[in-house]
Amino acid sequence: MFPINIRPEDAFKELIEFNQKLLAGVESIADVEEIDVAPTPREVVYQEDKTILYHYPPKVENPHPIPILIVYALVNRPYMIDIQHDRSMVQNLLNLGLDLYLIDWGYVDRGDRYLTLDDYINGYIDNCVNVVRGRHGLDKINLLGICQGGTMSLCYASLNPGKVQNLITMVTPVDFETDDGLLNVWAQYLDVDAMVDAFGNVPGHFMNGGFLMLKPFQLMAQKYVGFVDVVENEASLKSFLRMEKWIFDSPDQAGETFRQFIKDFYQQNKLIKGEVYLGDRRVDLKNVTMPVFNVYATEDHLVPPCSSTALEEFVGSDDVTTVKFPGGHIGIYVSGRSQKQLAPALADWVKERG
Amino acid sequence: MGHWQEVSKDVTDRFGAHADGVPREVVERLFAAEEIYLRFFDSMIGYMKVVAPRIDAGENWADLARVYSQQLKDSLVGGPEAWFTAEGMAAATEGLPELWKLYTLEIQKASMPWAQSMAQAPWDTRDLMSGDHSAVSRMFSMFMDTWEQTYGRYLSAPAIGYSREMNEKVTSGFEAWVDLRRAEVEFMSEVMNAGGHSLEDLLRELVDRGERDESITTFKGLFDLWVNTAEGTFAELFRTEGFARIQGVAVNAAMTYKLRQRDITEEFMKAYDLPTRSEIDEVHRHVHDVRIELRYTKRTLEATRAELQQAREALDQEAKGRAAAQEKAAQEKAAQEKAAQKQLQQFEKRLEKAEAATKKAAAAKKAAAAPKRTAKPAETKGGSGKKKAESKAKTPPKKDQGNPAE
Repeated sequence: MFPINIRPEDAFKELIEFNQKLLAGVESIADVEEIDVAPTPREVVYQEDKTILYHYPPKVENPHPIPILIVYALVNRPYMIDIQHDRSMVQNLLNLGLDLYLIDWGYVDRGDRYLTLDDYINGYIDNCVNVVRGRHGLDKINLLGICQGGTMSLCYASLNPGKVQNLITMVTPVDFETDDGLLNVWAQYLDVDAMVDAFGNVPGHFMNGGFLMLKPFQLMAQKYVGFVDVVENEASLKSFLRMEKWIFDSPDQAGETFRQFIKDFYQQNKLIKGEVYLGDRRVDLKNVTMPVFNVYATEDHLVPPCSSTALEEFVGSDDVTTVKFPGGHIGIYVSGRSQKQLAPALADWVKERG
Repeated sequence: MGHWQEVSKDVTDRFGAHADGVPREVVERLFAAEEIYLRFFDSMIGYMKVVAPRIDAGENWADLARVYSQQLKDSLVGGPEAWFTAEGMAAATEGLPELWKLYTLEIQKASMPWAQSMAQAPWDTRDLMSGDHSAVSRMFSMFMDTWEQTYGRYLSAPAIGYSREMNEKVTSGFEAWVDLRRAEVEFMSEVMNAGGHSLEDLLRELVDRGERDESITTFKGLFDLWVNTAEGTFAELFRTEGFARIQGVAVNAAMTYKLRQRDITEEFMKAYDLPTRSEIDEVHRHVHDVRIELRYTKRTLEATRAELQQAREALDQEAKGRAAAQEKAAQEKAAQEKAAQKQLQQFEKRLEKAEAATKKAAAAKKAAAAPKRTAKPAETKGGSGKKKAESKAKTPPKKDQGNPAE
């Protein structure tokens, strides 16, 4: 049997409908004046260079006494965890009685080209941690690192175990030597020195090109073709546009930080070998002795599960909780399942550990 | 279809003209995806037109599909020389991954004269091989013309002149450009091959479905099948070490070329007294160093302040302790003085009493020693008084009262 059974008149009818929807969609898009993201109220409590430390006012009368400082990745904007009211990990955690702070790295420019990982971790993160400790009169606070921010938080916790009560890592790459992730394979053949020397800061759009290549047909064609089916629904349209904004709102990467991250982590896998140096201090994951809550996504195409689950093997803590989340790298924050399951699990874990 | 593309573009421009940021970009991406969709639709309609009558005539559709797939693949690839024209490069980059687009579109602006000359080169080579010696001079003059149009112009710029250094930079830039072209062609070949394989995989999937008596009834269904199949095929390619190497070579070559371009550009900048990228980088490096120094100075300052505060608090505490001790000592001293004063007063009172008693006794004694008178009652009284006074005078002071003189 010939498997394509599309009658020409049906095909053309389908095409006409598609184009009608497309034009209606374009009209709807043109009506959208502003794409609102990060709806949860917050206040600036500290600023240094382009780094801003936000505090989300608690939503319960007596929040958990030890606040959580969220450290996001450098490669994207942090509003993914607070993209809209009904898909906000931030709001969920606040509603569950946690007290939250968030580091926003801002957009680096050419003047930040020489910022290093040491500057980020022992500089900005440490200063933010100290501000939070000072505000609450605590020696230790909770740290929540996301993706690359999780890797940075691991480094920080290793160097400053006396300042971290509990460590939470989400979709965090730890073991970079794996064939499961395309980025891990591709990075081996990049001359990162030439790249940083040529670009200065590595442009966000260049990084995006790489991310799109991971699933080119889905991300560059199918997604938009499928979009015309929901474009007339205002809520769906706005959700789509928010995601689009986030995906392409990619900051440039400070050159020296990018150089070290690719070389030491992706190409030489030094983190698990205990060979990463930040300034003159060696990062030894055995120093991560505080309780750790590690979440990975089963369908993560950016950070393969095996890269995240390796954490348990290499940290010094004997209290590691590994949580498997069915979904992808982004779904872990925005999916319906995440709203219902992940935030409560995380909040319970934190509360149990005081 | 071409007309539709123009209308689409026009619509995009009109709708996006006044919208800032994402909506405009989204509209553009929407139309780009639509273009892919339509192109696929066009291809499939073309395919149906060709194969439907032949299937009706009894030919094996699967064989026909394979032939068509090969033709489609050939038309997509079009031979390497097709990429060495502005149109060829633009066509080749359409629908390809963003990364490839980014650097090819950027670089083709600068390299187009060379690209066109290279597109012509295979023809001259063919003529040369067929015995036409004038092809040699044509090829040479073609490259020289291109050279003049591009880097040759730099050499003739009076502000720079024929310097050895500059020549080296230009030569090195050209070498980097050639390396980049080579790497790009290799990369493109891989991607195009994967595109061809993806069509084969699509056909294989269709054959399987045909054998299972499953049919696809909507064009969207067919498109989704193609996307999912192609994604799988490309993912397989992307995961290979060979592809990673080829991609790495292409990206690295692009970076090297960018660096060489900068070397040349900086010569111009210097010639016109403009700051170069390298000089600005150097400034930024200094700014960074100062920022870091400032950060650690601030920390040191804060630590020193904290220490100072601690020391100040310790000193304050010590001073308070000292003051309290002094106050206590003063209070004790005052209490001692008060007690002593009280004792003194008591002693003085006793002394006064003693003195009074002594005086009284002395007076009594004196009275006793005076010539006796006949007044008997007085004598009787005086005798009695003397005894009493003597008795009192002989009484020693109590020990615990101490000696006020002391």
